[in-house]
Amino acid sequence: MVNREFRITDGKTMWIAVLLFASLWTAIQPVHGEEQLPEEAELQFELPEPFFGGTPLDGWFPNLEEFTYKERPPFKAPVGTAIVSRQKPVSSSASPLRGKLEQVVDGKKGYEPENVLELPEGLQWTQVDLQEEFEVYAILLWHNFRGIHIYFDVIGQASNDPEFKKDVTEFYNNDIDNTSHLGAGKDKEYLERNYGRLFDLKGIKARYIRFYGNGNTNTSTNQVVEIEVWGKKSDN
Amino acid sequence: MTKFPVFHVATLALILLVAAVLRFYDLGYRPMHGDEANQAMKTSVLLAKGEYAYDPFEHHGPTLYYLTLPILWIAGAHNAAEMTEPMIRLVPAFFGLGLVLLSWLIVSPIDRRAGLWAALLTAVSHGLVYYSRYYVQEISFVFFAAGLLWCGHHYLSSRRIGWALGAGLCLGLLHATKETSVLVVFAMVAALACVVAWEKFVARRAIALTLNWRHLGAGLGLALAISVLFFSSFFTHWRGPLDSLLTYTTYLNRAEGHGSSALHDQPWYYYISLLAWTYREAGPKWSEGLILGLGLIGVLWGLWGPNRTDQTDRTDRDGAIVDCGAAFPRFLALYTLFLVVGFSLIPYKTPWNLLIFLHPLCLLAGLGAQCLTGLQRAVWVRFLFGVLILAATAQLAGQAWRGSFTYGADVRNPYVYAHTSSAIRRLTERVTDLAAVHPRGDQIHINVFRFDGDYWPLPWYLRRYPNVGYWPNFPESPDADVILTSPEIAGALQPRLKDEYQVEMNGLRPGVLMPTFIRKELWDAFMAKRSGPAETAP
Repeated sequence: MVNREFRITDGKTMWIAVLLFASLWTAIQPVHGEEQLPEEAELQFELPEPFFGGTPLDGWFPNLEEFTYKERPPFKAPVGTAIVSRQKPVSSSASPLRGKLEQVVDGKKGYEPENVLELPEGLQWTQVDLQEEFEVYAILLWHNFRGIHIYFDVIGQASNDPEFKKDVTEFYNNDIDNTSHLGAGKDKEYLERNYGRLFDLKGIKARYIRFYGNGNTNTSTNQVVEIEVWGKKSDN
Repeated sequence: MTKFPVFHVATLALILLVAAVLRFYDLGYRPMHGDEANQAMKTSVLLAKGEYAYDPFEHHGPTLYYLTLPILWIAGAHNAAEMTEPMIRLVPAFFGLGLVLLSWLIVSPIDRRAGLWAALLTAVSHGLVYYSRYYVQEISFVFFAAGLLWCGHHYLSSRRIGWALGAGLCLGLLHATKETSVLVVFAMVAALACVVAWEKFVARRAIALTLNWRHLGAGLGLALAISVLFFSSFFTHWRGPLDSLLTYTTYLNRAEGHGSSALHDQPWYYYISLLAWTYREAGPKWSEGLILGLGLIGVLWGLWGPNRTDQTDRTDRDGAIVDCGAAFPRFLALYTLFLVVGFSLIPYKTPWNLLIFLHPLCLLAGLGAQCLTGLQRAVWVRFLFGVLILAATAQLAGQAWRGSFTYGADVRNPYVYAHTSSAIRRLTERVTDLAAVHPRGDQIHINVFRFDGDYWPLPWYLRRYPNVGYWPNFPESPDADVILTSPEIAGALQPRLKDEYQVEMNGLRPGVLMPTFIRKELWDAFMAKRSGPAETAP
């Protein structure tokens, strides 16, 4: 049996060790020109009271987000991210049947009747003008969550074009059958609850936020309670 | 020679035009309620096969089905697939329009202007408009009750056999329409007895109610003949007339709120609150307070007012009054009060049940409106009241319009009760689109798994497709091109399916979801036909 003694002075072993160390060192260094990730903090979302009524949905469906009563996991965004939609101008594709457009950004998110903006039936949109470009990190959308509601053809878009004709970023689309003719989406439908629906926009730069909708399981009209945009001033 | 009342006739014509627009415009717009669908499918069997048998446990009388046939024949429909919502809803719409004319006919003898007010309020009442566009028995039931009122009043005023036969015809049709006819007849008889007693003991004058047995026999005989004709399915189902009596054991249980009927139990003030003020969730506020308020004035005037009449009391040789014209407003007030109290005391309540007293309330409201606009001395006061009531009436008409269209199937509408969600359109369009890409078209195989039987109005909406199965439990092979189910059993269904499916969520009623499984290859074929982005989005 041959006893091979390991020596640090062994040339081959030493070169392997040097190469290994160098690769590890390179791997942990930032690429030239890339900045350090900004420090992040958890966003403190203010939630309305839940609505207790209706039968909780039983069962699992592939095209429906699993309903949960659990709290939402913390959502982090760069320090300084705040609500940038409050009291900003709101427009819509049709005159409201009920409520005023400004309700969508007034911070009142409860299921109470006076908080609901209602648009006519069919595909409609509601749009918030942030009045300047922001890095958008999160958007919370509340439809009417009084009872069981699943809203159809929910499409979320961000853009710097108020007409949404160019440079449109679609961050959500659950119109799987392309009823809207805006392109078929791959996102799932979801049950409304007091937590709202959180969209992670990962710092998309945009001035305008638009949400489409096309009725729900209860009625063919469209109801929006609140659109809450969280962002930071864009450096541009 | 009396001058032709041009203004009066023109006003009535205008009221009828408003009533017609509210009742006939876009009759197919609102999705079908489960009850409407149920009635429609029974009518379709009668149309296609000539089969009908009265069911004493569910459903109501036969008149609705038989009276729909002429419209379907004229429209050229031969079966369910060829029937449409507007075709069948024409029946209640015509009765609803007829009710406006009847309002004028009933109240005009008391006061001509009050007759116009009554017709106008009937024309724009949200409840009466809503159910005039609704394929159930209710509005025809109210029409026959009003017809009985009109003919009965004229008979007691004139003692002519023609009016007795008219009253008999209405009574027979009333009985053959809905089981609650007994309550209506009871309220009429009780009100008549009270009026006679009132005249005798309070007004100190006697009304002669000498019975003409020949007229009574003719009227009741015709009523019986009409009832038997319909309940026996035109002499083909002889158990029907017997069942029309035995059914009251079922209805007594239902009225007391036994079994599943307890679902419909409501407090005594339910009907009044529904009329006075309804505000549910976000949306419009609803009120027929104008009719309630004016109706209350009409009741007070009917009970204690001067009972002005265009007719002079006719007396017999003994000095007893034989013409009840003067006492008619009092009768109307008592009849309405008895109906309100009676129906409010019954625990079982549904919104459409209030129509039977909402209509006489409109008649009294016509009298109330005339009290405010016709009995004031100062012209400017009359004018002011007239303008105010007309403005409130316009608001009522707007309410009726919103209630029939924008909020026609919306839970916020006081008359929407366990109604199919307007989201049903999405489902029916989907099935139509899927059938269009299916190799066998309308032969598409659809399975419905809702074991509690809660699937109406699907049979109506899927009437074009012969291969639809409504299952009480899972068959050995539950696979189909399209499967409609409920969230509660979807979990048990999924492991039993062999094929691959696209699943989407649809709504049957608010809060009642209907998971829809679409066979994957059919879904892919459907999506392949769908166009991409287009300039059609708003």
